Amino acid sequence: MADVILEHVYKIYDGDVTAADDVNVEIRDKEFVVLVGPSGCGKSTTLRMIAGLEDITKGKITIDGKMVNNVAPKDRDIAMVFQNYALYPHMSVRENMAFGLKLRKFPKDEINARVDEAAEILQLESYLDRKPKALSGGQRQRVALGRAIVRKPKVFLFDEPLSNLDAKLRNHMRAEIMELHQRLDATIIYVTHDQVEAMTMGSKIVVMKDGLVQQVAEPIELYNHPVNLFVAGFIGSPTMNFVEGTVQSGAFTAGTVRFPLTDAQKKGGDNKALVMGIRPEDLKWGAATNGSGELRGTTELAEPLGAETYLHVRVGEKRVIAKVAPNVEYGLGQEAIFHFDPKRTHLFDKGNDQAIR
Amino acid sequence: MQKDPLLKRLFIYAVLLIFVLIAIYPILRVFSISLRPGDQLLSTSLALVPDGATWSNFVELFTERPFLRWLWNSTFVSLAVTILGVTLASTAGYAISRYKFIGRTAAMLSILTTQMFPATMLLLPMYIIISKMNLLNTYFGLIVVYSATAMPFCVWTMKGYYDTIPYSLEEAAMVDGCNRFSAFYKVILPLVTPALVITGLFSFMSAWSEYLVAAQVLQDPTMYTLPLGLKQFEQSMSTEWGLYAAGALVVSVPVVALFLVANRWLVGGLTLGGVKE
Ligand SMILES: Nc1ncnc2c1ncn2[C@@H]1O[C@H](COP(=O)(O)OP(=O)(O)OP(=O)(O)O)[C@@H](O)[C@H]1O
Ligand SMILES: [Mg+2]
Repeated sequence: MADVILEHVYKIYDGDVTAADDVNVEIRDKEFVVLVGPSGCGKSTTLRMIAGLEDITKGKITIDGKMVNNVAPKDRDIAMVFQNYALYPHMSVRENMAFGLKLRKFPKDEINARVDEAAEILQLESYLDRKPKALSGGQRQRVALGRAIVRKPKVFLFDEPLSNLDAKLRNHMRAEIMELHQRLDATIIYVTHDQVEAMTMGSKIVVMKDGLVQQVAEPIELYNHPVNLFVAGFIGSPTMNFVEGTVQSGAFTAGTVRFPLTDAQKKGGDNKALVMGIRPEDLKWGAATNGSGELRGTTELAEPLGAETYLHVRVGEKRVIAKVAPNVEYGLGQEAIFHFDPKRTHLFDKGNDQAIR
Repeated sequence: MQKDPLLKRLFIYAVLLIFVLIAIYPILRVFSISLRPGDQLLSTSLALVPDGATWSNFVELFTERPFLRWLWNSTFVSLAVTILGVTLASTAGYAISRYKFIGRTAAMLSILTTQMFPATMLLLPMYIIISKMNLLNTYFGLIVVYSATAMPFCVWTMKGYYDTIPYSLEEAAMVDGCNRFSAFYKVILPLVTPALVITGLFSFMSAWSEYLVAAQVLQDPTMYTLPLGLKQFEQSMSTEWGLYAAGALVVSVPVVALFLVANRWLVGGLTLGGVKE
């Protein structure tokens, strides 16, 4: 069992930069948790506090039931993969992977067996005697992974391990890491700013912004029920469309857009300012039928991707994006009419950005 | 790589050749003088190998003069300075590169400031300090002064080199099972070999060829280092140019040899490939 629990964890740099602001996260054994958020939101800081590379200003971190606030990184039984790989340049691939085991005084046979096993999993067998500088980016990445997995630690920490790779390699390595997770049965904490990576890899996602945890949820829950405007806009690609409007006689109203609200949603009374969010795939081509909402605008741009087409549509001041089937007959500069299921909309209080359910 | 046109290359080689000649000519003259028999010392002949060339100056140097003694003294002092210099500079440079502490900038600036004074200006205060510490006429006194004067350059060199090594390497080492010191020792130190070699060479050379300070600190002729010893050949009435030249050549041999050997470690780019920025 290797639970990692963060309780009221703060990190304040030099007295004024709050990089982690009352972070509370419970990571269960064998979970694949992704910390995601925009640049500078404190993901790396949080991960590094778990690793012990950064002091905790306030709060408590426990690994496997043991408080580790004052435990040195080497004694936390963790392994970390750094964004820049941080391979030891003067050691061969084999030595890089064996380094941690040697320091821990493993017998030679055991070290060799583990390195060979990792090399096989990561297809590095033929590079074992090379120095890092004679490897490609993807191979270095795999060595960094190998260095972590030979240790068989309780917890793996990844800090944006794929951000230096090209798109194709990134997809490949993503799959490889997910496979590794199943194979190793280990707890993984993974930092990324890429929401696609977060959605596809995580069994649980922690969304952060400005040092604050915004939402902790499973990917689908996060996608379908974002708790605030930030999460709604951050998760999903293309991003969710937002339309600002008000409550008018129990219905959401914004220009031509109008649909009835549930009791909970209209609680604020008439004239309350709301933001409606709707995902591009929830905008359906064609006029509204009974009970559905309607949205009209002018098609300004189309991005045909083959399997689907993204239509950029001007609605008043705003531009919204709709994901439509490739056979939809749109005309650039012409009127486009979409309908949507009110149940698929997300409503947010314009005052505090929180979701209204 | 694209090759330059022939004419340009010829020109480059010609210029280089001229400079090589300028650099090497005095050494050849010294060599020539060292080979002269005793009766031709003041000859103005420019022949590289003089008439009646002889190794007798070299033989006399080693057999009839305390040259071996000086050689040993110099070697001992220079090696001690090298070891002390490299040890202190590698650790001090590391601290300045990696740690934030109060007075860090001040320390760095004052190290730099010491380099602005000519060594001769420091001679008197240094003499007073050494004599007050009862270190006159001791090797230890000499070693302290040499190490202290070589230190600023060495610390700056080391610090600059550490700065190029990403901190994540130490972090990786610490996660892998190192503590602070073993991360420094096992991962960082091997990567700064070129800088260690440079500081080592610099410390060695600044001690090996130093005259002024040695002349103040050392009084006992049996303790003389090579530069002091050589100077003995220069007397008020006559200078033994043949011995002087032979001695000068022998003194420079270890330095040249050191450079040739050290060359191997001076290749940069050792950290290449370990991390991706
Ligand atoms: N050593 C430091 N001293 C002061 N402030 C720091 C330090 N390290 C990080 N910060 C600040 O803390 C905040 C969080 O940094 P952190 O590195 O955790 O961001 P991140 O979410 O990992 O971003 P990125 O995606 O760019 O890596 C940033 O505002 C950053 O400027
Ligand atoms: Mg980061």
